[in-house]
Amino acid sequence: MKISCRINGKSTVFNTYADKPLLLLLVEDSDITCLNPGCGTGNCGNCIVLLDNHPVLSCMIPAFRIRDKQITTFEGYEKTRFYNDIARGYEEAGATPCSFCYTSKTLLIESVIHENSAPEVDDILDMLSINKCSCIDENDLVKVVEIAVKYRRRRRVRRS
Amino acid sequence: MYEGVKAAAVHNPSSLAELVLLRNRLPGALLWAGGTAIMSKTRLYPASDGIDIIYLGNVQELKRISRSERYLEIGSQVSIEQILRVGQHILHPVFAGACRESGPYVIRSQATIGGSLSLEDYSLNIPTALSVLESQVEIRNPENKKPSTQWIPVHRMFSRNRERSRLQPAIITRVRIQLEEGDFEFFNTVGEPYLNPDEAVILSVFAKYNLPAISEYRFALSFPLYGIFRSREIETAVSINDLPFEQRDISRIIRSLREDLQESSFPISPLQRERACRVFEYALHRMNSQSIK
Repeated sequence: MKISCRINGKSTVFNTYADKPLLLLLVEDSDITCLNPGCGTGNCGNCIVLLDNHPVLSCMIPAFRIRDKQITTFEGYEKTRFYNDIARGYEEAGATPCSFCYTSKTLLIESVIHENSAPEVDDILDMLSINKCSCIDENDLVKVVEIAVKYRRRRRVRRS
Repeated sequence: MYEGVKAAAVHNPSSLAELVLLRNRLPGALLWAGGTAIMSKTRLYPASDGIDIIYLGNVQELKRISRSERYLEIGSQVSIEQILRVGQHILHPVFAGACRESGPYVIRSQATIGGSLSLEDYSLNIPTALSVLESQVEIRNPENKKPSTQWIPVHRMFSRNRERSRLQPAIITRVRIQLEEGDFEFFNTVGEPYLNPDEAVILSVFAKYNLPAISEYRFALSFPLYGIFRSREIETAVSINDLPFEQRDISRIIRSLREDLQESSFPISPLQRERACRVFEYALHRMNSQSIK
């Protein structure tokens, strides 16, 4: 079946199977290289992408669900100015995720900030708990998000 | 993985009438709700050659939540996360707990209440909580010339004899939850129901009391691979006691539960039986401490 969508702002058409996971589509049929195919069954949380700005596990989204949708992978996200807020959060908190989960944790943090301008600790941990990699301590992750929120707020104030 | 596989055809009905017609025409089609269960089991995809998929996510009637004086009615395509946003003062604590423990935000946003009631080989959090709340599920049967509708108690769908399998190719359209308030509600999972279903236990409790008498006590113990265990005898054994329970009453109730589980047709492991007894005992102690506050 033919499925058209936008990946990182670029129109793309896949000729594929309806229930092929988005993860495999991105890894096998597109030029995306930032995704780590982990368990493929929704357990490790290392294949996060944004589907119309909402975080999803790409291994759990079938191809037919992406028709006419906007998909943002880490490769597209890191080119935006919003990424700088999170990168500064990592730097100032002195805690950076490992290379295996960096992309997923970063997109999850973006989702926390995007959906809630003043997230509570429980909201942060709930959102990030989908990623099972324990390379960063929970307290450090909360610190990263709080710093990123601070920079994002400044950015919003400047814009308004 | 996909070489030589004939592509599945996807149908996207936008109304309930269209869905019923489609289901009548394609009784063997795979109904796709949130897809979290299907996609988490690699053996379920690619769908076998040429199978039809009916995607339910665009059927507007299935995405509604409504509330009357006595009931909360939730469309089968409402996501678990949307249910949590209905509000703590409307949701039963036992149901809210079951929803919260269904998974992290990303999973809750994708999984639907209808999907969680349709899992053929699992009884997880949502059915356990709904069962103890005496909730009902609206089933639409598209097979007859004039599609029929019936309400089935959740408990019957997940009892040992698995009435779910007999419901094919019916469609779950709504879930109706009574709004009566409980004085004590409890939800707990022991182990990881989805990852280690043969070791996990889920317990939901709903009770009403007017100190010191217990007017109503209901519980549902779920063993994910086998179904939901409920026992009127144990419920009566609990409710004939006054609050707070004495330790010897609790020990007697747990002994009866252990015997009932041993004699039941559920082929559970000794670990599950032990876990079931201990979590049940913990719930009794919680009820005790709440009653003396």
